[in-house]
Amino acid sequence: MRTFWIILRDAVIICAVIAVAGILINAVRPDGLPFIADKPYDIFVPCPEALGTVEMIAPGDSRLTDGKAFIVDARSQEEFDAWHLDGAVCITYDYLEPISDEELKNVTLNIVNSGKERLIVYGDGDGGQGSTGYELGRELAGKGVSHVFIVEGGADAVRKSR
Amino acid sequence: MTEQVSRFERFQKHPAHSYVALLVRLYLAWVFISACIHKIIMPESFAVDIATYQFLPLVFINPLAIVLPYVELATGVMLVTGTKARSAALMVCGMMVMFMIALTHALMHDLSISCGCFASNAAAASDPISPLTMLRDTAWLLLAVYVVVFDTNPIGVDRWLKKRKDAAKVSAEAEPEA
Repeated sequence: MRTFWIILRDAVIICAVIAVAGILINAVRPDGLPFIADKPYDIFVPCPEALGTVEMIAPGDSRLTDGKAFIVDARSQEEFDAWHLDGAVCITYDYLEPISDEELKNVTLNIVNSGKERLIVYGDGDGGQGSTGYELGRELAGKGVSHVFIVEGGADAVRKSR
Repeated sequence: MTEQVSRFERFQKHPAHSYVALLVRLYLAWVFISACIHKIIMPESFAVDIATYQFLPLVFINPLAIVLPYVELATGVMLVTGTKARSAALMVCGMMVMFMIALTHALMHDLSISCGCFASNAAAASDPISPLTMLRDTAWLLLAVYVVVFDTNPIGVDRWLKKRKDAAKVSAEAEPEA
């Protein structure tokens, strides 16, 4: 046991000496760091992405209106209030924040309770990559929701097809 | 109990441990020396790597980025030369525990970052942290523990100094008789 304390003591002394040496070397280096950072570092941590595969469907596809689809509108609440497909639920897609576990749980429970057999998502833009519907659909699919479909052309195309 | 202790001590003092430990020391030294190079050359980049873990308060980031690479370098050199080898191995244990705590924090928060161990995050975006990183660090920790516990007579400067000390002791004991 005594040997261990000697080893520990030596390790502490060596660390202290090296720390002082490191600080001195840093002080004389032209590219040395300030001992305390004066502002937070700009860090970039990509958001964790769980993306699954989805199937695209046309806005006039019968699967949208056969009563067997749980329909999600991925646009903002204002856009949803202005117009939405009958029976659609608003889940606004946020490009920066992944869907929370609570939200995912609610969506999944709603789908299960509704007895629907597929999830159809539409959003803004053309409905393709980068549009809210496409991104939300892939995110939900990546988090375990199966039978996810995206409407080509987004909300505008759905409205025109009615 | 006494018999158990003495059996353990006999096993601990087996001369073969010195040779196995030498290989372990050389391997750990290679790991730590190669890990410290980019940190010493680019301290700011290493400070960003530490900040990316989102674990330490801002006041501790630069002091750690300044000191840690030199501790790693010294540890590596001590392990290679066999200078205070067991203390160096204990320092490795301390660093590994520290890294593993940071890794656990990053994994628990789903941070998609590189560990920053051998290259900066920016340069090693394709080497993200994962449970495998934790497994690797655990293996290094166990190797270091082996050196601390079993390398009782490390090959290198420690052994040479011990021999000199023993020789001086013998001659000092012999002198009064002469």
